Amino acid sequence: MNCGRIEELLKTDYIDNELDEKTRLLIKEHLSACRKCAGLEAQLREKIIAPFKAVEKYHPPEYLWQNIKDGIAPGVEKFPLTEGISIADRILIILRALKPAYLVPVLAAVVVIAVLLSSPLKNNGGLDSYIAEQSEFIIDNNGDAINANGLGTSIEEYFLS
Amino acid sequence: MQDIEKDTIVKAAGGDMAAFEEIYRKTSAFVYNVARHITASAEDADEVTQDVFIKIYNNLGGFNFLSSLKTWIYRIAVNTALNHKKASGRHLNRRADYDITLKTAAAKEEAKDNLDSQAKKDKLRRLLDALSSEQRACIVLREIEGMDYKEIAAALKIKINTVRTRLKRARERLINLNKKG
Ligand SMILES: [Zn+2]
Repeated sequence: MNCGRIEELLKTDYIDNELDEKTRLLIKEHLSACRKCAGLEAQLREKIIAPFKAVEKYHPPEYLWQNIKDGIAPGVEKFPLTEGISIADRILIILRALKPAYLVPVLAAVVVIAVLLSSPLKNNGGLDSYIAEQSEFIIDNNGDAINANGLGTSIEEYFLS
Repeated sequence: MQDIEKDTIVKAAGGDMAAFEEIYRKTSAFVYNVARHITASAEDADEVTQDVFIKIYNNLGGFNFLSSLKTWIYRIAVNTALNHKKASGRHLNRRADYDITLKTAAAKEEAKDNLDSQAKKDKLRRLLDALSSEQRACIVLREIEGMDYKEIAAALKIKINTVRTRLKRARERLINLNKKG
């Protein structure tokens, strides 16, 4: 191997321990006989490699984990049916997850349900099943579009639970 | 980076926060350190790390186990950091809505560094600043994270020979920089 080829390997595979043992020994032999290449090796190790090794690693500050948890919007990706989320919040979560094209039919369903829930008939025994029927009807009519968006039955569960 | 069991990945993909936190604890040091060196800023490293883990959380369901989770996270981390660096050059006011308390916390953390290690960091900064973004990513993964050529190639989605060429050019540039003093 000539000095040119040795220099290439010094700057890459040799210094980075990527060489097979045979080639590595060949280069070591060359370095013991050639001052120019030995000089390059010393320069690489002292000036180009060492400064990076001398620096301690940075560690992520503890507040990042909290920020990440906060940044993961609840409901959008998993639709967890957690107790204690108000109907209004659930509707907002769903609306935020929807693409604009589905907004109108879903909004219509929301309005119907909101009207029914706030109506004075609220304590009437037959109302629950009536809401269920109406919601299913509205959602079924748009079912294809919603299913295509991968949301499917979670929406019904949100409205009806 | 520590190994992560398949079971943990599956649980996290299903929304299990304890499992996701385990992934975070095992991989965030790498993500943060790489982001910090590529962007050259504590604030940017905070933002990149947050972005990376939110992306990981939202995409774990699509992770196919054909590549290792580590490689996948390496790739998201390096890409996000490189894109962030490009973007922060263009939109200087991007962070107007960024939480002010984060900035304070990052500044305090920076002030804690003692002078000696600050000098070493300054020197490192000068070296990294002399490199192109692509060269810098290779050098950070090789010198600071200790990854081998195969791992770097997988993380950057480039050929091993490209890794070699970038490292060679980067080192030649650093040698020239030293000659100039
Ligand atoms: Zn020689």
